[in-house]
Formats: sequence, C-alpha cells, structure tokens
Amino acid sequence: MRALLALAWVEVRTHRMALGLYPLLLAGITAILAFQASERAATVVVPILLYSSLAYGLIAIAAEAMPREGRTLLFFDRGPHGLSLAFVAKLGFAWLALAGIVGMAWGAIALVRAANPPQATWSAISLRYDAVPPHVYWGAFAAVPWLVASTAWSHRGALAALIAGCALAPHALWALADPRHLPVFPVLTHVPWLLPAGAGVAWTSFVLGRGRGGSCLRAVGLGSAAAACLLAPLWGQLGWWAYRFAVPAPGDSLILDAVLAPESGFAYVTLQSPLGGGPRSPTFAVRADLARGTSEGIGGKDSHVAVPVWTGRRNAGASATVVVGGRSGERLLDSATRAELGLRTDVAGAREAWSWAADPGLRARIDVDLRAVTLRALPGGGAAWLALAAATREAERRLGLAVHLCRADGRESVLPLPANAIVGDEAGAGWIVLRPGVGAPWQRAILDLHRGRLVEVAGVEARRDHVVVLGREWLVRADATAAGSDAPWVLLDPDTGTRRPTKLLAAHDRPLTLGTDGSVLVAERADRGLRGLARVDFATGVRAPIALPQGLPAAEVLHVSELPVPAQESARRCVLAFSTARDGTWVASLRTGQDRCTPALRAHELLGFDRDGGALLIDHNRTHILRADLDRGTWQLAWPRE
Amino acid sequence: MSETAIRIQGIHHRYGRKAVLCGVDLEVPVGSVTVLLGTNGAGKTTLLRLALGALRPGGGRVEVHGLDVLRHTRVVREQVGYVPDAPDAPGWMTLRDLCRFLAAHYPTWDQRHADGLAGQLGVPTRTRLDRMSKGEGMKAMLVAALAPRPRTLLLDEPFGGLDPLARGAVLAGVFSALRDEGTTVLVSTHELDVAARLAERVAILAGGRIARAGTVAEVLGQDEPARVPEALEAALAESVAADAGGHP
Repeated sequence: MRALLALAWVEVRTHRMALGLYPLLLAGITAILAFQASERAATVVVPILLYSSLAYGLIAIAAEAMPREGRTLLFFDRGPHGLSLAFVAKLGFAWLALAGIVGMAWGAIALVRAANPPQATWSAISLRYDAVPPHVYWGAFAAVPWLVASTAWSHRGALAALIAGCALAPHALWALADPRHLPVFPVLTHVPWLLPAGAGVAWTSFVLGRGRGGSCLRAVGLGSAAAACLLAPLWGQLGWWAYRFAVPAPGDSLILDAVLAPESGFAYVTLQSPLGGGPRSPTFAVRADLARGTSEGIGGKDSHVAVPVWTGRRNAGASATVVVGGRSGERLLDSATRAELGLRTDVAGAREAWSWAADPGLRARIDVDLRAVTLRALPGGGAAWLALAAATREAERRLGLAVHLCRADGRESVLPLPANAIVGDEAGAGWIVLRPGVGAPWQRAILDLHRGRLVEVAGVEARRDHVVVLGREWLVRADATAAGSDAPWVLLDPDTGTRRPTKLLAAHDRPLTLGTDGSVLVAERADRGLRGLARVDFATGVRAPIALPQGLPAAEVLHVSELPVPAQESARRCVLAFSTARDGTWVASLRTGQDRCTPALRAHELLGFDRDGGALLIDHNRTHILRADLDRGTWQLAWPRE
Repeated sequence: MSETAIRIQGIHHRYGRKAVLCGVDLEVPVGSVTVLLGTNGAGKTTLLRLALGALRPGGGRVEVHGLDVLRHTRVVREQVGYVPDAPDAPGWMTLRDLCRFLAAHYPTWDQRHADGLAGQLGVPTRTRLDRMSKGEGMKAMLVAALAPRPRTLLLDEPFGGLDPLARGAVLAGVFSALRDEGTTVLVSTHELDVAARLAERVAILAGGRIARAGTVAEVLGQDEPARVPEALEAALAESVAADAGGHP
C-alpha cells in the first residue's frame, strides 16, 4: 500500500497541471455555454463538449507521457513492483481525473442552475442521456488505451489504440449495455475523418510537449487545450449525430402523441428524444403494451433507429390506425393486426402519392391524412368524421376538406368543404368553419351536421361561446357583436330565423359540450372562473346542477370532452379537464346518467379509456402513461414499466 | 548460499530482426567487481537489464543470488541496485522526492545512508533532476541505488558526465565501501582507465557472446600487466576482430 500511494503521488504530481487545468477549463466552458445556451441545445452540447474534451485531454496526457516513454518506463519498471503497480496507480489517477472533471463540470452546471438564466431549460436535463453515458463511456474508454499507451506500447501503436479506443470502444460497450439503442453505423461513417484528425491533434500535442522540453505544464496545457478546442466542436457534432440516430428508452422521452387501441390493450406512442436541439430532436414511435408496461419499436426493420415519425388516428370506437413516417416512407399500421396496409413512398411529395398496397376495402372507404381526423358523436347516435385534407373516393380522389357523416340510421354521406377552408372549434353538433373571403380576412360559417351543410345566418356570430348546434335549433347569443359576450342566450331556428328566449341559461353561463342525449353541459358563471356545472336539457326544460369534485383548486379554464368507453358500446363518458394557473391540469369525469363529478386527478392529457373503463392519461411531464380510476381518484403507472 | 551472485546461462535477445545477444553465459562471483566491456551496440545495457529482469530474454535464464529474476522479480529487485546510463526518474523530482518515493519500495532503505552519500558526493537534494547537470543526475541515481544497501549493484555507464573529482570520489569512496561490505558489482563502461582501477574481473562482450571472461590476469593473459588500460583495449580489439573474422 505504501508503494502504491507513492506511485499515486508520482502520478498526481506529474499530472498536477492537468488535474488542475482541465476541471477549471471545462467548468468555465460549461458555465459560459450554459449561460448562452438556448433550450435543449445547452443540455446536449455542454456534456458532449465535456466528454470530448475529456477524451482528447487524456489523449494529450498520454502524448505528454510518451516522450519519456523509454526512461520513465524503465524507472517504474525497474522497481521491486515493476509496472503492474504503476499501472494500478495510473488507473487510479485516470479515475481521479475523471471524477474531478465531471465533478467540476457539474458543479458549474449547478451554479448555472442556481443562477437560473431564463434562456436555459435545465429541468430538461436527462441525467441518463445527457451526462452519464458520455462521461462514463467515452471517459473510461479514453482512459484505458491511455493507460496501455503510456506504459507499454510504442508511439504509433499507442496513438492507434488511443484513437480507436476513443472512437470505437465506447460503441462496443454501448452495444453490450444497450444493444437496442446502438448508434454505431451512423457514427462509423465519421471514422474516416475522425481518425486522422484525432491522430493529428494527438501528434501535435506530442510534438508540442516534446519540443518545449516535455514539461507537464506545456505539454498538457498547450497540447491538450489545443486538441480539445480544435476537435471538441467536431466531436460534438459527431455526438449530436450519434444521438440523432439513437433511440432513448421510453420514459425518458417526451410523448408527442399517442393513439389508444383499447381493444388490444396497446397504445401507439410518438416520442421525441430528450436529446438533440429542441424541435430537431429525433422522434420515434413505439407500440406500448399498457398491460405489461413494455414497448416495441414500430419502425419496421429499422425499429431500433429513430426516424421522423408521427401517429394518426381513425377512431370510430373501434381500432386505431397509425401512420408511421420513416425514411423508407410512411407505413400505415392497423393496431389490431399490425398488418401493413399501405405504404406511401413519397414522403416529401404531395398527398396524391398515397398508394395502397393492400386492403382494397380500406382504400375504397377512406383515404385521408390520418394525422388530422376529428370524431364528433352526434346526438341520437351516429358519428361524423372530420378529415382534413381528405381525399374520398366519392370526390374522385380530389384533395380537399371533407366530412364523412355516418348517421344513426346507417346512411353515410360526404360533405365536401371549400378549398382552403379551416375547421375551427366545435359548436355542438357542428363545427365552425373559416374560409378566405374577398375583401375580408375570413368568412365564418357553421357546418351543421344535422342539416349536412354549411349554414350562414345573418346576425349570428360564428364564434366559440356564441353558437351551439343542438339539432333543429341552435343556441346562440342574442347579441352577435363581440361586446355581446354577456348577452342572453336564445334558441334559433336557422331555417326560418325564428328566435325564442330561454331561461335555462344565464348570460354568464358557458355551454361546454353537447351530450349524446342532446343535453348541454354548462359551466356556471364562467366569467369569474368555474363556479359550478349544470346539465341543461332543452327538450325537457330541466337544468340539473352538478357539484364540482372536492379538493379541486379554483379552476380558471375548463375543457370538456366526451369519450367512448370501449367495453360499454352505448356508454360515453364526459370527461372534464380543469386547468388552473397554479396547480396545472386536473381531470375528473361525470358518471353517465348520474351527473355526479368523480374525484379529480392531476394529469396532463386524457387519451381515452381502456376496456375496463379506466382512464389513460399522459402525465404532466409527458413521459409516462397513467391508468386512472376516475371514480376513486387513484392512478397507477401503466407505461413504461420496463 | 551460492557463491555466484549473478548466473547468466545461454541468454538470447533480439530487437526485431537484429540479434543482440546470442547465447551469453556469464557468472559473477559474490563480492566481486566485474567490468563489462564491449563496443557500442554490443549489448551491455541489454545484458544488465536482463540481469535486472526488466527485459524478458528470447531464451536462456538469469539467476541472481540463486533466484530466477523473472519468477522472483520483486525479491531480486529488492536486493539489486541499478544505475541507468542516464537519469530516468521524472524530471520534477528532487533527490529528496526520489528518496521518499523509493523508500516506499525498498524494505532495506537507509535514509541516513542516502543522506551521507549525498553529502559525500555533493549532490544537491532540493534541485529538480531536470535542472541538474548530467553528472549531478548520475550521482543522484547512484545515491538512490546505494541507499537500500543492495547485495548486488548493476551499473550502466555510471561515470558518464562525472568530472574527474567526482569520479575520483566515487571510485575512492564509494567503491571501496562497496568492497568492504561485500557488495557484488557488475558495471559496464567504455572508460578503460576506470575499468583498470575497478576491475577484479572483466567480461568482454563481442558478437553477441562473452568473448572473454575472468580475472584481469586471466583475460589479459598476463600476471601483472604494466599498463592495464592499454592491455584491456588490446583485448577488446582482439575480441572484436575475432568476432568479425568469425562473422564475415
């Protein structure tokens, strides 16, 4: 032990400048970059710079040791313990250096976090992907060949080992540790320039160190700083590309979108990597088994590679359909069978490039951009599809905007909409449609699903909170001007223009949604924040109050949606999302037929219900899917649980 | 206890394609001072490093005090002092640093002895090795090698860079003490006058083999040669010439 300590002392004393300079240098760089960083770029660039500097710094240290290879080696080798103990001491030094560098760099980050600059989003730092692997993988594998090189190998062999170790060995370990997320092949494409560049810089540091007397300060300070400054950006770029194609594990990635397939117990989830630069971060899709909490890539044979992916939905209460976009084209997958139904080979081209490879029945019925489909259940049964940029067979595959209407009696029809129109908010059994007008920015109309056409009525403001299509009649504000937001509600027959007052709604009440039974859910005194709920049935003239969940913070904004419960064909559950400025989003539901609020759960987004009626929620970090029992106000983690 | 301190049997060694030693046999008796002579590149340094176990031979066997140097490396090296042909310790070390470092490795380290030798030879103790002259550095190496009071001392050109006074001090003071303590010394040198003053035994390395070995009288073939340096030079030249004749 005494001999080992003596050897360790020699190592530290020999490389004391390296031990002092590198942590300070890297900590300074980290702080500077962090303060200037924007969003996630900082969280990626900084660690990459750290490990690249570390790797090349160790190369430089090795180069510094090389000029003395023969004599210094003999000095250690001719002692009673030979090189073996010196090797152990060097190993200890390497890890001491590693710990110092990482510790100082993260200390700098901690300081920056404490300063809390507004430009950086430090909460987005993923320890798993932004910090630990780069340092451990690259640092360790830069250190190992350094040890070999500085103790036994010739100059050229040592350099080759160093570069190979830095460039290739981390991936070998990565392959062992996490083969599904291996970024090997894209990285290998950079080897042709990386190897000579790394060798050149290492050799430069070697020459600098030797030419100036081989002192530790000069060799390490000049050579390695030059190496780090020159190659860190390049290596950082390489690292960015590595992460560009690396697929992080679910649970660390941001859920962009998810489509439930309740009949099979799966969810198709589009994820965005925590790495990369904000919107440029890679996205990928997985099929999440909500029962087991496991995941499976759905990028076909490239499933281990993150590709630009999005999901879409064709949700008629039956199976979900998912469009997966990738480098080989877009694939349409049916959630129930995972059969490949179609392939769109022209990703960047026009939407006409859809070419269905199979299932002519599907082709006959619907060719739509599945990313933008909205379902609207109709009072009295039936449903309407709003398919944006849809091309229907009836329209001779002409692109445009259309609504596919499925009535309760089984009749189906397609309601083509004007070109360039925009479909906006729901308005009961209809949508508000905006289309470019001549001399005016937009012209507004109501797409009345009951009548199956666009309707414009003079004196009616086609805006949210102004119109609710109930069926034969509309619920509208008496005053159509913007100042009439507090005007009383009246019932309007758009065919005749007849208006009749109603006392079921106060002026400050806000209609939220039209139920499948024809009743309207109303927020009471919505102008002062939510004070209560009520269900209003205009057919019977009954207004029934609904108590808010206990413990719910004072809500300021309210969203309501109605979702089908798979196992109960006729059951539709009215789900309330309460958004408060301070406490985030809360979710509760109304029990069908009872109009009683269940306990509220904090959540981010409600995806839907599983076969047992459990609500599936995206948590407020958008990284996990929770299964909630809205009746009891409890939840458990559904995915991922790997 | 073996009366042979160093026994080298059939040693072969090569650097790449170049064979340096081709079956070297040499025995160094306990307590003797043996001078190893040879031309540049003859393999003297290689042979000393083989004797220390710092090189692994291509063939043959080296024993020091009856122990195989490769199998009992640690025990052998604790008993062997080595002085390289140039200072090899890290340049930032002072003699004090060097002694502090080596004291942790040698159980027989005698710091008072080291201090006494440093004073005797005039080695600065607080000067970095890379700022010493070569002579001072070599004296520091000598102090470091002698401080553990080794049973055997391997010296590789130890007088390079030493001024005449220092050389005289080493020869008169240090070597006489070594003789008194019965320390075995194997020293390689090109300086024949030094060899003549030191040598009890001489080994001439030529053509990768020990061409001649024995006492000075045995090697020179004369009981009391009048001018030993010149006689050693002649013997070396004859050995080299004989090797050149045998290897055209």
